[in-house]
Amino acid sequence: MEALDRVLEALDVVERYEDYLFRRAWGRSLIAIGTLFPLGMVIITNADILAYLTGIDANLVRLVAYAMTIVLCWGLVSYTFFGAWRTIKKESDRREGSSLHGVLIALVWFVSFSLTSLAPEQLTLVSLLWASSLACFLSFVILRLTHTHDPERVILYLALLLGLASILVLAIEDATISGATGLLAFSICFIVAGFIMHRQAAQALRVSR
Amino acid sequence: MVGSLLKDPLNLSKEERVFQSQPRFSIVYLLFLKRRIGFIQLKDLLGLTPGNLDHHLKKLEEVGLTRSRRVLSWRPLVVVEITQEGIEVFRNYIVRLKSLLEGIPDKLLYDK
Repeated sequence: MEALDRVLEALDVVERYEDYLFRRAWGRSLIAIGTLFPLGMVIITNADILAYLTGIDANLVRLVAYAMTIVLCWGLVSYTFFGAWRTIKKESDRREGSSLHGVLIALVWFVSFSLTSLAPEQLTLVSLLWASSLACFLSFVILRLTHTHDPERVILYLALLLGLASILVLAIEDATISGATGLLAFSICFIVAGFIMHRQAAQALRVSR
Repeated sequence: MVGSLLKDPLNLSKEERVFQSQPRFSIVYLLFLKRRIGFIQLKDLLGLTPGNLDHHLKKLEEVGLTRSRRVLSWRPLVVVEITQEGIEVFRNYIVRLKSLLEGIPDKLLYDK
């Protein structure tokens, strides 16, 4: 029946659009994290210099930088995903309870990054790499278990790269160089992963013939 | 009468006939579910040229099913939206399509 053929083809269009929205949300979030977090860390580690230049107490500079980094990062990521999930979420997700996967992933990232505060000072930047590696890996696992969307291998590869980068950073003895390398590795991994996701989002839009 | 039923089992209205082409049906279906989408995303999703998509959108706009508007973003964007009339027309169409399928007797589905 022609009408049914039309419906089936239209369903394919809808699925590709949802795939595009999902990947675009991840892409934007990864780029935001890769840009904002290292920037915040640079300000925090150079708080004494900023305090000297501005005349503001160094601890206050650190506190404000830390708060702004968290607020901007989480705010941007939450806004991006909320916009995508509001469009993507299906009736079946609500029935099966798999709409909780978004909350689970947010919790995983929050807990992972919160745990970095327990790390000794000399391991702060390495713990950042570990936390993000763990968060990426658990996000991949949650997506695979809930079957909400095709688990994105880019997230898994990002987890592995961040883990490898942490080993590289640990191998560097000089504290300044290892700190800079750690931040650079974190930033590059996230931003490159974000751009790959964006490219995949654009490919998802295109008709597969 | 049977002949006309076979030719047009859904008894389509003027508005419903407009989205009987595949691209227009996909546009209306997508907008029914998502309410709005960018022109560029729509063009890529359907694999149409800008002129081709524009032609289909004009047909839908002529019968009041969709509308396009420019939004200000970091670059000018054209967004296509479904109208309230478009939502109701499409919903009625899908309800009639579903009831047409439900009219198939069970014994025909499970008879070997």
